[in-house]
Amino acid sequence: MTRDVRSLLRPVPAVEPTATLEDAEAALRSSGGGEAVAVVHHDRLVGLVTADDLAAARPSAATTLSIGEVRGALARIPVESIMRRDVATIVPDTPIAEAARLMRDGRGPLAVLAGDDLVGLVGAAELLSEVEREESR
Amino acid sequence: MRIKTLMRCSSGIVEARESLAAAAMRLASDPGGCLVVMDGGRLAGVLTPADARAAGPSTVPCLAVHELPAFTSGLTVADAMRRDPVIVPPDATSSDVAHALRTRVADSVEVMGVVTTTDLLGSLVERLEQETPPRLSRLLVAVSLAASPGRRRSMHTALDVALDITRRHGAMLTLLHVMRGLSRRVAEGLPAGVEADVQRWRLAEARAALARLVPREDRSTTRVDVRAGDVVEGVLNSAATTGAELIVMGGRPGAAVVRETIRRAPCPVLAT
Repeated sequence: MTRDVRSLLRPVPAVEPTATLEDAEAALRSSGGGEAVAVVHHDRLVGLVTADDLAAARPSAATTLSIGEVRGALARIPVESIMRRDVATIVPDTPIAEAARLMRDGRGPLAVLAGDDLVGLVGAAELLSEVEREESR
Repeated sequence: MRIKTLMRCSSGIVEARESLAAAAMRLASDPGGCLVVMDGGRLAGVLTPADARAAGPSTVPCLAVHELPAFTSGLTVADAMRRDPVIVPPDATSSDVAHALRTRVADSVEVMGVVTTTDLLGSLVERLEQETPPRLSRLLVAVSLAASPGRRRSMHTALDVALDITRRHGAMLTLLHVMRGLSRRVAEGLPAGVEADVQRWRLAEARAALARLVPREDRSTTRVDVRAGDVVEGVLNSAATTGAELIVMGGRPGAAVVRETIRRAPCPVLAT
């Protein structure tokens, strides 16, 4: 039997496009180890920000800004300016193999849409738990 | 599956004091990749493209302007690397590794190779595909309507083959006919000239003839498409717009039209 991604879905942290990088980081932290935050406007998915994107947006050690100035900037810059707009989307019926194939090819994290509604995200963590499950059968 | 069969033995090695920019360049060619960082002959950490991106200059321009190029070019691999890679023995199973990666528990040491999340996902894809072979979801079959008895026979074979595959895979089939004499504007439903009425009638007739070829039980999974102009162009355009994963067409594999389609098609072509 082909299993679909339904069993892997977890609730998605979501923010508005005007939310700041600080808000996105807070949403990610409160989701407990999620890989990405969905950016949603008028109940429609408009983009995605991953934990890696947020880390890459932070200045390097070579910055001349003080910690306070960096914090201030992160509380001002909207997620819209760094979000990925070309998010790979799948449906709840998508087989796990197809989701794993997209992730392997570097297209993830994947947004799971039922119609226009965002019902979950599938990232490496969800699929790794699938690797564990498959092997231990 | 034992991890030693999955690991990359020839993964790149960098020294901790090397320049981050140079290491990032090496990683750029392999997005799922990972470099092993050594320091004085000992394992110091690993460096993934995400680590390099995180430690490098900000991706936001208004923050990046405050970073001094002289300093950013002085960043080393040691500034960016992950110091606590998950370490597993070669006999670990992929399940163990997946668990370790999710929960990050590390064990003892000697670098033999690197396994990344991408490698594990690749093995998952392979295993799932063995259990359930990948299904086709969209097929295209090209048929000719006004043809000699021989061509009609090969067309029916192509259609039967395509319908058979479509049923087995639970796929959608596009039944395509390319009309040489038809005006492109008429085929695309655009306003056209004086001859348009005759042409529209021919178009409607072709669509009806195509629809008659489809057995009743397959009507819900089949749609018809009529295009104007060159056959090969028509097939390729239809395959592109419908996202076809397989093109089925009548004709010997050596025929010019078939050969040209095979050469330029974005997906496999089955000539019957």
